[in-house]
Amino acid sequence: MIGKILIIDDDPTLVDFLKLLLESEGYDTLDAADGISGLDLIHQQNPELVLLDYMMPNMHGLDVLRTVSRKYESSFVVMLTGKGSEEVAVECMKAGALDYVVKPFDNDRLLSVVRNAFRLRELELEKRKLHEQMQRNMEFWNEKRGEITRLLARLQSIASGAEAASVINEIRKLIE
Amino acid sequence: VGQITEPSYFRGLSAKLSLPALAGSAVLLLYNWKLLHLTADTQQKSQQLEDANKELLQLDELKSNFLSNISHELKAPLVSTKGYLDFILTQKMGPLNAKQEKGLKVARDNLNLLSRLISSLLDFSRLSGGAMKLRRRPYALKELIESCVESFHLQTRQKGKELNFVMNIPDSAPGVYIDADRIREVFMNLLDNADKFTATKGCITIEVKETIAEDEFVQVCVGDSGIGIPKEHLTKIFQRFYQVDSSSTRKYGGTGLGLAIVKEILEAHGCTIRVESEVGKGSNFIFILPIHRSFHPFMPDQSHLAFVKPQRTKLIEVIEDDPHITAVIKALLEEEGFAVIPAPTGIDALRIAKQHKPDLITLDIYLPDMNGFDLLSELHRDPQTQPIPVIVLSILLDKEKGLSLGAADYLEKPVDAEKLLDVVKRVSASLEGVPNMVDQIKQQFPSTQS
Repeated sequence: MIGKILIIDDDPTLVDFLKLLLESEGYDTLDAADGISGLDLIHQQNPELVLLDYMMPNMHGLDVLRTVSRKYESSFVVMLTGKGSEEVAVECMKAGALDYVVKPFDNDRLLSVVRNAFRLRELELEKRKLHEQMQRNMEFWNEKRGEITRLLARLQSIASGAEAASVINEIRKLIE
Repeated sequence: VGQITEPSYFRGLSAKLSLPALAGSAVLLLYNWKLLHLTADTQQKSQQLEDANKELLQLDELKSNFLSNISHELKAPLVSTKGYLDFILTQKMGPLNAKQEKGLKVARDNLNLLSRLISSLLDFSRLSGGAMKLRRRPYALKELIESCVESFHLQTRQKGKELNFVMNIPDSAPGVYIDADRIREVFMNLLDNADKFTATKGCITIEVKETIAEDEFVQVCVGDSGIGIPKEHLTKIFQRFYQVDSSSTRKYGGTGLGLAIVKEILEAHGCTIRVESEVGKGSNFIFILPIHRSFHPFMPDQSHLAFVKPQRTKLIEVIEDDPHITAVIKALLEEEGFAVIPAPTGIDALRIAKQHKPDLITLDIYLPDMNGFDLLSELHRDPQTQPIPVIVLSILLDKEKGLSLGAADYLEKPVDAEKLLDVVKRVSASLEGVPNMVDQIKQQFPSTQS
């Protein structure tokens, strides 16, 4: 298995086909016919990627997209849109989609978008991890800096002479 | 005897009013009453008219929505049909014999045709509502045409038809103030037509001609060496569902809506289109587009400074090897009225930067052939590209290094759309002013550069 993809689309024939296409490339697939059951599946199964239809009954694709990008940080969304306008695409990208595919699509195009989406997802997760690490390092350093500042203040009160003052100053500059 | 006895209820009145005055009042009363009646009548009628009008508007909206809905409904089943056909044709579900393959290809081609027809029906339902909302922005005409021609080549390449293509667009082609998505439809429809009616080895031309009406508009011509249009049909070809030869639907395909769409889009821009044609020699479609003349604080009236070209749309070079990220950035920036030129490798990037002198560069640090930081220093070493501000977009958190090498700004990837636009706008706004104008003049007189 190279990755789990959830397909959310209200057209059962298309869902069947997408499953066939993606499984032939070795992906694992899940499917849902509407946004609400789709969100349930994301919650339970935690798929890496969601292929999401833009126009659906009972919950608009954009609302599902916004919910996924807010609540399920490790699931990433590629939109399927019926309209060929760039406005819709930009709207989706702004709402947090990784990419979009216009229906009817070329199978190769869809597969390459999916491959790229997995790659981007890896990078994004890596970035988040590094960011967290950096955050922790910063916290650690800030803590240490506080201690050093306190020690310097104590040192200043007991050390005298121009040389001591200049050393203290230099250390201050270093930790600023 | 013989004395007229007034009825008692008039007795009091007649004491005060003379008979003529009474008659006058009666006439006035009658007149007033009639007027009142008439007014009520008019009010009723105008109410009826208003209601009828409302109903008409509702019906029109209903019709547009109906067309739009039905087009969507018609398109939906095509999506999976196309998917299956394409997939079976890859022979991943098992081998096909030659006959099966041929039959499936015919089915697929016809399906693609059907899909295009439905798209144009959908387009038309959007347009014929009469409420075409234009999102007009300044746009570089040359780049718009080049990108249309590129998509057109992609389409025709699949068909394997050989066409000669001549583009005559001066570098000084002005900026235009248009809804780029719509005008793109205009070009694509005209190119499709030219292609449809021109045999293989034929020639299609796109020409940007002189400006007219005191530089308010620029003339553009899309021509072909195809079958041409008989004289008696020339005035009618822009009508909806009109086709020169009723058999042409079968022969050439199409809904008969293409040119009607073209005309409606141009008219919404306040522009016109006409056609010149001779049977057997070809056709020329000539239309105008509104020129964008942006206000410049140092050039209050550019029309007197004939040597300064109208300020063009800002050009942004996007250096990025992933085509999908490029597509996203491109869509975002174009939405805001910038023109975008993509560069997938470091080598391309340097060449494009020198050749096109973009106003701004966005740079990805991971490139297939070069380290982005090296590319950044290279851009800053070369006097030709040195003044172009570079915004680094990278997954690396190396802001310090980027800025020390001269980057104008540094954004982390995946880039937040709003943030990117903010930075691009800020950096490009800081370019406005005298140096820009000097550059423009220098470009006009290259001899002064040496």
